[in-house]
Amino acid sequence: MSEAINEAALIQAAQAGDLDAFNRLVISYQTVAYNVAYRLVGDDATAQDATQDAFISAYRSLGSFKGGSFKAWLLRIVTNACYDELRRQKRRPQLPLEPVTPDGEDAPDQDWMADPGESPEDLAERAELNTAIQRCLNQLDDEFRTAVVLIDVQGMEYGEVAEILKRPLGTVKSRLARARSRMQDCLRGFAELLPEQFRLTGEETP
Amino acid sequence: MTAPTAPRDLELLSAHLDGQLTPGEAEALLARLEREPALTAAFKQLQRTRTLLRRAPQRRLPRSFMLTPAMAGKPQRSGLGAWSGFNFASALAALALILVLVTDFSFNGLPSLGAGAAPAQEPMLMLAEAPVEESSPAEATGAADSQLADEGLDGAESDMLRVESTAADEAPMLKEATAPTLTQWVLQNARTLETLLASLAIIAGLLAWHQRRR
Repeated sequence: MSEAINEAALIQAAQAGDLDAFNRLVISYQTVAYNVAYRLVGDDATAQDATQDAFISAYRSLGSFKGGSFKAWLLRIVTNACYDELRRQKRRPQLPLEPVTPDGEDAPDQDWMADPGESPEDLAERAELNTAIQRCLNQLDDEFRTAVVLIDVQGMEYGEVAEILKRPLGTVKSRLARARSRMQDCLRGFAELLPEQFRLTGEETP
Repeated sequence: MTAPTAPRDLELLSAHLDGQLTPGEAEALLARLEREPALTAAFKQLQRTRTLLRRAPQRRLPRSFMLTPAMAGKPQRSGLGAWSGFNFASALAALALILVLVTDFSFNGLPSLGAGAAPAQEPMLMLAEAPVEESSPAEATGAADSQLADEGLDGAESDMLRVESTAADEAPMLKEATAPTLTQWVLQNARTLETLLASLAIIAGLLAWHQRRR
């Protein structure tokens, strides 16, 4: 409750031009904003650009925020910044979506939050899982990817996601269902690469 | 291989996973899940997919995304310049006020000191009297005449003494009256200066504070 009041006060101060207040909001949301951006664009540098652009854009358009979920309002700006980046990449496809070494191999990407006490084997497994998920996400259409990233990867509520996508709840449900189904089909292709507990097989015992 | 699930069933299973079905829809789906093994298998697959996605690691923040004034489009230099200007003006006015107050109190004493301050007011009295003496030297000469007569001196001696006395008395007073110093001017306008400088210091200070907050 007090956190919500504090956030409302920070938003009000930021709307009056207080940059320090806005930066406190940035501190609260930058991790989720960057992670959403990373999952949507699949590339660290592009995700950083999109996140920074989104925060600048959010500060400049704070006057248009009329209440409701600030997180949803902010993440809508983040997703739009990501779509812009993706459109730009499609026009000028210079960077690969996958991190690749000069040898053509996937670069080891372990730049995520490590669990304390995690063994090297666990880390390696998570690296494989991360690569598989990101590759499958990259194959989805933009709005399908956004739905699955926000609900399944970030654990957000359907209502918030409907607000972010500016779509009816029913549309969010159907896009999420189709996105999950496509992710399932894609991840089956990584069965050999994934640790046993992560493998999805074609057969499932009823 | 499991048979492809119908899009409508897929939506129902997906929504059921997140508890998004109405009680009626959920009841109907549970009844079907008990009867249809293919549907149950599809549901479990979807459940595992969701579990897998939820285990996707969160990335560490590579850097801070806090905005600098330049990013926010704030005119940092001009804002700081105005703030510094008002601050300097406030400080200057306060310093001038202190100088005026010190000068004023040194010559006139503190207003609340009452009788004890009287000796310190002598220079002011002298300054006030100076023009009067200058404008009517005849009166001063007359006063010297009567004093000499009282002492019983003859005419020649009294004439000499009168000339010497008049010249000696008038010299410093004429000097003070004809060339007023900055101190005299400050003392004559002390109250006005104090009010003006105090107001200037407060206004400039408030403007500096307001500029700093923007």
